[in-house]
Amino acid sequence: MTVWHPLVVAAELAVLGYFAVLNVLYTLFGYLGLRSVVTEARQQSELALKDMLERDLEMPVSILVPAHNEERTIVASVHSMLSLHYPEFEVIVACDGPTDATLQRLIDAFALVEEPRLYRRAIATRPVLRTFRSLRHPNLVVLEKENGGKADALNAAVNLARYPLIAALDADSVLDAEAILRASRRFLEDEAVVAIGGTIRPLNGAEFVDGRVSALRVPRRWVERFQVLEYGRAFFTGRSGWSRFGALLIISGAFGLFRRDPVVEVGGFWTGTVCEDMELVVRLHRHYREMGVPYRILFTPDPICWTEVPSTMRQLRRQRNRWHRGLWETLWRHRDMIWNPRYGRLGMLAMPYFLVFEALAPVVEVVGYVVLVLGLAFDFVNVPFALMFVGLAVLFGMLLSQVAVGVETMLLARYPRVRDRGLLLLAAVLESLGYRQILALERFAATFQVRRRRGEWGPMRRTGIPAPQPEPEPSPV
Amino acid sequence: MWRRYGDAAYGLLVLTVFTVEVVTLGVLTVLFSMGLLGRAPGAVLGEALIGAVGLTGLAVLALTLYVLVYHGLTRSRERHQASQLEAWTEVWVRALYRTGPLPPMPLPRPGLRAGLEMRELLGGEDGRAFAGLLERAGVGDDLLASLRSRGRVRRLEALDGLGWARFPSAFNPLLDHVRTAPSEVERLMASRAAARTLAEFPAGPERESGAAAFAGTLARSGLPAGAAGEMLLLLDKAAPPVLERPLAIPELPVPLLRAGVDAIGRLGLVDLSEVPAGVAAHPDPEVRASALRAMGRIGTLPGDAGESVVRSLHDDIEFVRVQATRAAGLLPRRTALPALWNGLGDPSWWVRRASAESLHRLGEPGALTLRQAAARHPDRFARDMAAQVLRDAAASTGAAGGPEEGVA
Repeated sequence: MTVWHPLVVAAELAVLGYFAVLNVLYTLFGYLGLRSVVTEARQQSELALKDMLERDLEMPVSILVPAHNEERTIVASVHSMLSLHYPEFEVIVACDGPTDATLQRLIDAFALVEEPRLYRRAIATRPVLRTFRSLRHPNLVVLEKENGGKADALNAAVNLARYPLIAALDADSVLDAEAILRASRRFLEDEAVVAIGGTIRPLNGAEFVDGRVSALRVPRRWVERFQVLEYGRAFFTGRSGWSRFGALLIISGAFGLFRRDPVVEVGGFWTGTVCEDMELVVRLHRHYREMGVPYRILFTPDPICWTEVPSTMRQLRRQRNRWHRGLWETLWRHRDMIWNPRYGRLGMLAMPYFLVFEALAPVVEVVGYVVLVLGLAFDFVNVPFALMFVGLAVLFGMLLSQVAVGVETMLLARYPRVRDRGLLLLAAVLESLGYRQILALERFAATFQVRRRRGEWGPMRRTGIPAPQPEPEPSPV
Repeated sequence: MWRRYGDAAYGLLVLTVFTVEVVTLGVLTVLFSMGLLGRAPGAVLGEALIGAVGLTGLAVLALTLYVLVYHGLTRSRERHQASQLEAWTEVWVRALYRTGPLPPMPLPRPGLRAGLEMRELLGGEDGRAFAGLLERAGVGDDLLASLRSRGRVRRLEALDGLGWARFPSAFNPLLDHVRTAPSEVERLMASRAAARTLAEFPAGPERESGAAAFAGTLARSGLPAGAAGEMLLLLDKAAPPVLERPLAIPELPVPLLRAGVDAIGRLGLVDLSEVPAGVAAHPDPEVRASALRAMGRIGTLPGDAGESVVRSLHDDIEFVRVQATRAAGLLPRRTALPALWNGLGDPSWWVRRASAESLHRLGEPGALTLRQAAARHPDRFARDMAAQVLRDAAASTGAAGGPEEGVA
């Protein structure tokens, strides 16, 4: 025991310090995020949106939808995108070598006809095999290409995009009708804005009318309920806080709005990662910092996008494994930015934070569990102290979740029933009892799979949102 | 969209909770570090840990209670307000048609909202009459008093309300607010409200003097060019006198000049077409591009602007050439057709596209040139582009069409 004692003390001090710094940062960004939400809520003007719509003040947007095997959701998603409240936009669906009926579903639902299309190949991609246009929706373009992954499909869609703004969306995403309008305002008002991320909320449990979320219910499964909390914490506090701090590193792939030219200028989405959304944002930061050009990359809590989250633990583990590998891939690619004062608060705070408190967090957490078990087995841990310490950590996690639940309550489109609110509050208690540990283990494993499973996505099973009523056949001309 | 009440209280609660937690964590870290180094007795550590757990538990409880109470209160409050809104709309309708009295001040929130929504709904003379009625009821004074409030939230709500209401009497106070407001958001909202108000002024000396004041204020507002451009577009018929003035200021910042020129184009102000023509050779490429785009939108090339367009077809900057190509359709046919034929062979994809589209817009002579280009332009990329635009045109009209021979 004498030999091991200094080591044990050092380890305990390190864990304590890690816990303290992490939670102080969580509280700091939690508060900044909340302030950002409150400020945004005050500054929103319905009048501004109305003027924008009535006077055609908007910037046209190309909505890019990469789709691999999405036969269950694609038609409903594209319908929902085509019914957005926005004066001028096009939807470009990039079918990335689907092996299911994704393309056929689109052809049938939107009366697609094959038509060659000339476009500027600004970003190299796998070959585009065919392009289609819709006989019913002049602003819908579909392309079929050889499979090259999500980033490659997005790049192919960027090449076809005609408009100055591009919105990258997941094929299972459903946007609020005015989401693009709200986000694009910022580009109009501030020329320095190059990218904007919006809030993503789980659509599991929601009810739909005409491809739009019409009513919210807390999802049926606990694994989905926990994710409602996680998304709330991530978007209403975390990303809001980082954005307010001017160092937002992630714009979710489910919904992000970018100026097209800078995206092309930096080479588009990187195909060497499974986390192309974060990597692009880091590269944009890097590009502008190195050029010394003023720019802004923002998160705005108001435009809301709904996305289907995994409904089983197995799918969720696969997703989190992929996210964690993507995080490491991005950090490794831009490792020279970490602790590099040339990149300002990005290099000195955001990137180190993501390395120490996100990428390494599962390692610390799992090592902590192992040390705790060993300590209990070999009697060098004070059991009551250890239990209270774990209790404190659990309560602190609950505290952060409750802050996010509180922010969600201020949304007009919130979970309406008091029972739902109670379930979410209960989920904040229960998520620390197994759920978090399972995900920590998965991320721990992912840390050591980064090289071996590079670029591997793994299949995702979608339940799908209900499609609206089929459109009538066009009358013969 | 967010609820606009209870958030500040929630923010304060969270700040308090987080402050307590951070202090607790700090104390705990120091004590445990001392304990691990043998400088703090175990009993003290135990008490500190129990205290931290207790405090955090209380914090969770406080937040939970707030969330549940807020949820319950907002639900009943919103149900009540929805029914009130309908009742207040009836009150205003009766007041407008003189079948009921003007409501007394101060108005409850639904009363104000119903009035402002009705004001926005009613256009022209009816709208102005209703605005007068709102002013007589005291809504204008109330909003202006809120504009002078020390609370930022109240000021923002007042600015929003004045934007809906468009009271002529609020125009000058709004311009004052643009000049003096501490934050960009307030300046932006005040500018929007002022622009909307000025757009309602009938033609005459009042609109002229208002335009002069608005122009001067906007030029010095420090608003981003995009926002300033947006304000100019809100002016509608009041735009020409506003746009004439700042554009005559020699030291006008380039972004504002660009916003002004762009607004002339977007509003299609033929009488001001000399302005973009005058800056078509500006040293700043963004201004040149804006000027060319504006002339293209207006659909006329005044004076010797045609020479600027022809010169710009060979500009080094790609986006200037694109705009020049779009404006080239306004040149005389004998100049436009060969210029656009050459543009089809430009190294830039966007210029080729713009050339083909401009040719297509020129009617039958352009379409003929386009078909010829698709068949026998010496540049392969030009042939491809011409063919593509012909296909797009055929698709949009539903007619059969295409190049005369072979698609590259």
